[in-house]
Amino acid sequence: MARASNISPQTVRVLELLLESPRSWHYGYALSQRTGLKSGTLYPILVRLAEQGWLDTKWSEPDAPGRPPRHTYRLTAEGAKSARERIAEFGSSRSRSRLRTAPSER
Amino acid sequence: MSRALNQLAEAASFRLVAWTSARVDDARREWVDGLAAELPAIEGGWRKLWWAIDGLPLVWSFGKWRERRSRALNRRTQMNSQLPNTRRAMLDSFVLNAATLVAWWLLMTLWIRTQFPHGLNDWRVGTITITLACSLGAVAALSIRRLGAAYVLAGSAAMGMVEFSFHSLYGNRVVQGGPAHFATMAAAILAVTAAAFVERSGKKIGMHLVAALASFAVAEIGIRAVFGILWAMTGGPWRFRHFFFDSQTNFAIFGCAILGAGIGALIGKWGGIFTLRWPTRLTADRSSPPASAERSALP
Repeated sequence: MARASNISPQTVRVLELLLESPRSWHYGYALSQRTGLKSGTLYPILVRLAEQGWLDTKWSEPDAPGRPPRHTYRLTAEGAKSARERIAEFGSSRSRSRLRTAPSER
Repeated sequence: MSRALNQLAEAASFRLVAWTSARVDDARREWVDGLAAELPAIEGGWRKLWWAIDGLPLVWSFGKWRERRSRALNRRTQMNSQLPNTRRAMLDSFVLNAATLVAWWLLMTLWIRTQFPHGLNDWRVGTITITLACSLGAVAALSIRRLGAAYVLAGSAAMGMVEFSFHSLYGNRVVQGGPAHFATMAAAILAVTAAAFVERSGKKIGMHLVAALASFAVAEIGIRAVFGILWAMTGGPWRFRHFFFDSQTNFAIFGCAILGAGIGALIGKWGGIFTLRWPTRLTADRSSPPASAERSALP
């Protein structure tokens, strides 16, 4: 069963990137390059997002002859809405945790 | 050189991704195919190889092994739910086998006491009597389907035959003492049990020899471990020590293992012919309706 929460920093990084252009399709390698995530970390995140209905997937037409079709990803409308909420939650929880840890850091 | 290495890395990357793809669950294969489809778009063989290597953890995340583990866990859960009954059956079987052995021992002791009031003074008569008694006991145990008792008695009979041979050949003073008897009997019983199991499993003839050699090895190691430690703890000199270092005892242990394996194979193959078929049960099977029908007929 898919997990309900998408709040890990790596997931947030992927969601932020997908939200930059929510209606366009993204390639796995480009996502990996821009988020700095390795393929072994990125793909489980994408699978989880797709299973939760946040992500659309499509095999795109090859951009050059002789090349195989590529798997592409973009946020669904619901996914984009939920992603914005989660990123906001993540931001506020991070700021709260910074406030909590601040006295002990002094 | 650099170009060749680059090509090699590129080829390795495709191989690696194919290897990963073959090991993931069918439902998730599309994602690994997506990862593989990125390879032609990546510039440079080394980058492709790193992309493929980074994707290796997907075998862990999406691997078929997860499905297999899940099936194994389900099987284990089902077996555990039946465990109390299995334990009970094992306990019942152990008690019945032990009771069979005790009953046979009492019966034989009573018979020998009545037939030989002055005891079995001659070792030949004693050994032959014990061997015959154990052989008959094994048949009796087989007839009432007490396999554990049958293996113990058949092993004891094998030990009796081997000891009789060695005493006849080398005199009464060889293969004597507690450790030697312990080892010969252990080797024989282990070999009978293992060979009967091998025979029932339908394994090839070579496996009987493996069973015999394994029993010999276990008995040899056992005798040295148990009595060697005992000897070391008591500080020696220990009166039986020479009996398990001499070659006759070792040959006797080996002989018991080989003979025991032979007897075990015979029991495994033809032991069933001694089993008694109770006429009452046959009659009941043919004439009475099934238990479920009886239950359904009850008001």
